[in-house]
Amino acid sequence: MGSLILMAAMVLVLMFIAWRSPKNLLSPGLRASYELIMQNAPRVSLALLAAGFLGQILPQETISHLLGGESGMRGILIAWAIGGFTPGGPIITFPVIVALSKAGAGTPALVTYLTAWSVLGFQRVIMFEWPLMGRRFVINRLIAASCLPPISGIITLLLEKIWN
Amino acid sequence: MAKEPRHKSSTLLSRMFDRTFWMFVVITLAAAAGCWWLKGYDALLEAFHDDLELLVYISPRILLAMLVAGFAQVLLPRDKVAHWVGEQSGWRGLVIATAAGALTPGGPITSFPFVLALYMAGADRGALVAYLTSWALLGFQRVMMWEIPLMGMDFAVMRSLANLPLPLIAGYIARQLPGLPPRTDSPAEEQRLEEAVREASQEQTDELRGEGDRRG
Repeated sequence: MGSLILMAAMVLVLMFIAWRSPKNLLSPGLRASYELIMQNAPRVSLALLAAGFLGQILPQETISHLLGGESGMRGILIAWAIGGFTPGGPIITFPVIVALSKAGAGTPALVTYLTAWSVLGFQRVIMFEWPLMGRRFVINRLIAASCLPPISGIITLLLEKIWN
Repeated sequence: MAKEPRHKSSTLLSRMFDRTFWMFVVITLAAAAGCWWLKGYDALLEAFHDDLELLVYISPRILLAMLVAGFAQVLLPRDKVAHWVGEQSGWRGLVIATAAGALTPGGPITSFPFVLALYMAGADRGALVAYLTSWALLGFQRVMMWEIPLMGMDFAVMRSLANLPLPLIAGYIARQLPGLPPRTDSPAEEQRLEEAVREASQEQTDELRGEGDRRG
C-alpha cells in the first residue's frame, strides 16, 4: 500500500510541475503516458504470467541446493553459474542465503550468488526489462553484466585475506 | 501542445501488438505448457493463481509507473540528459548514474519508469546499464531491510565493497558493445524535438537581430 501512495504522490508532483511549466506540458505528458500504458501493459501482464510459470518449473530450492556448502574458487564458479536462474525477490532469496551460509558456503560464494541473482536474475529480466526496454537493450546489458559476479567474488576473497 | 495532436491510432495499435508482444505470447504459452508437463496440472493452477494475485497487486502500480515515465519523458530536458548521462558524458556520466542507482529506493516498478524515460530522453546505454546495475547491487533499501538484519554488518560491508566498482565496469563494457538505436519512437518525443528545433532557430534569429541592433 505504501508504494502505491508513494507512486501516486510522485505522479501528482510530476503533473503539477508539467502543468506549471512555461509551455504547459500536462496534455503532452498525459498523451505520452497513455501511449506507454497501451504499449506496455499487455506485454508486462503476459511477461508476469511467463515469469510465474518459469518460477514454478525452477523452484528456489532446486537451484540453491546446487551451491550447497561450497566455498573458495569452486563456490564462486558454481554461484556464478546458478545465480541468474534463481527466481524470486529478496523475501525468498535472503533466507536462502542464510541457510546456505549455515550449510557452510563461503562468503565469496555467497556474495557471487547474490550478485548473480541481482544482475542476471531471469524473472526481473522477463517481467520488466524485456517488455519495457526491448530485446536489444536486454542482450546488451546481460553481456555487460555477465562478468560481474565472479569479479565480486574474487574481490571478497581478497578482502577476506586482508581482513584476517 | 501542438495545434493538431497527431493521433496515429493505427501505429499505436501496431506497436501494441508488435513482435515483442507475440514473442511474449509464445513464451507464456510455452512456460505454461512446460509447467504442466513437468510439474502437473495442480502446479500449473497454483502458479496461475499466484500470477493473478501478483497481477492484481501490480496493475495499479504499472499504471502509475507509466504515468511517471510519461511525465518524466516530457519534462526531462533532452540537452541536460545528453550532457550529464549522454554518449559523450564519459566516466562522469557513469559515476552519476551509479550514484543515482544506489540512491533510488524501491523495487523494479519504481526504478524502471525512470530508466525508460531517461532512455527515451537520450541517455546513453552505458549510463543506463550502470544505473540499473547500481540499483540492483548497491540499493541502500535492500541492505537495510534484508542484508544487515539477516546476514550481519560484516557481510553487508564486505559485499557492498566488493560490488562498488561493478556498475562502472558494466557501464563501460555496455558502451563498447556494438550499436543500439536510441528509442525515440514516441510521438511526444518527436513533438518535443520539433519544438526544440523551432525554439533554437527562433533564438538564433533573435540573436542575429540583437547583433544587428548593436551594430546598427
